[in-house]
Amino acid sequence: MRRLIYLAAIIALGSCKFNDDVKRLPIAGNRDLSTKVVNGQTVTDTVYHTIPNFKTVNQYGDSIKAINLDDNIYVADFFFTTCPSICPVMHRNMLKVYEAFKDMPDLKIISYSIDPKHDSVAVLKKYADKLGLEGNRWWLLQGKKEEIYKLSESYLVTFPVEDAKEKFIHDGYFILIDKQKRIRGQYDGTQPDSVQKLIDDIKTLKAEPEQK
Amino acid sequence: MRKFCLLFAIAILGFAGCTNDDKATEKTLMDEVIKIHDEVMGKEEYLMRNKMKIDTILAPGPLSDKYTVEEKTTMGAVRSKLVAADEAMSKWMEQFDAELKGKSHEEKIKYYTEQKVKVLKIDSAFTAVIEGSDKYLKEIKK
Repeated sequence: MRRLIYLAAIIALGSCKFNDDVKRLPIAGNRDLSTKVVNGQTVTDTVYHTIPNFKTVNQYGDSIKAINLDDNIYVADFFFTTCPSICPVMHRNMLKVYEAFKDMPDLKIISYSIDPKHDSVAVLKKYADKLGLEGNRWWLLQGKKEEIYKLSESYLVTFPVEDAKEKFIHDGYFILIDKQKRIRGQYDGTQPDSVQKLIDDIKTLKAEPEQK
Repeated sequence: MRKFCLLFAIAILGFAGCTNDDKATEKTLMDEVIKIHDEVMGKEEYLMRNKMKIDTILAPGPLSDKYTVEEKTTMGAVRSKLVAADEAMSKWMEQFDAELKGKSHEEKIKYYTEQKVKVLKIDSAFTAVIEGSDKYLKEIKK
């Protein structure tokens, strides 16, 4: 019976059509209710899990914080330049996302290095050049290792209706974040099908009224 | 002439077969190294969490005040072991060359075999420091 309830919840959240008949992506993480009084009436809002602030430097040596992503939908991942296994595959796949949305100015990609000691600004720039990155649409970020690991806990939370499978920093996930800094999807960055789903989901997300 | 051609064709096929076998052996060995690397990277997250727990305790404040100087010294030593294991992995990753362009089959086999030994050693060190820090963090929890 419990399985049936979960299944119904997954189907309901998977399609997520609201009154305005726009298809919406689910929202990950814990949620709380916040009550406040507006014009004498008690109003209850849902407070969703959001990505906290962070301090990093990008491949150009510019300081990058969460505020630099305001009014952007973005895709995040974790990598390191000397990774011989999944990272090259992930970034070949991420290039497909980069190319698919080159005309969408409010979409960014950010890749946090988990080996900041080696991945200096110069190393990140060289890596960016090798990938063929130009401009400010895809930032490779260096920060304090401990802070990046702590931050990863905010990105790798599970969806409420999913099986409680723990996600790890080196699992190769791409994480889709909306303009309100909420997690809207997690995708296996090593799998082309999953990356295609990400591309489709970005289009769905972009069509939501509050993401325009 | 026909015999010569036949022998030549057999030699070519034999050489091609050999090259394919060599490449397969190299790939198998390299995959083994990468697999151990990925396992260590999975453990690194756990290692970092333990290091961060210790950093939280050692940071000046009410939590740190609950611990004696002796306990904090031991904690510092546990932390150093975690950092040393993590740095060993970073160094290994930095020097590891997965492509080995221009190297012969024998050189590649020798290299991957050596790297496998090195990364297995790091893997064992990770397991030991994680288990040690887990045990210590449980013991000193206040």
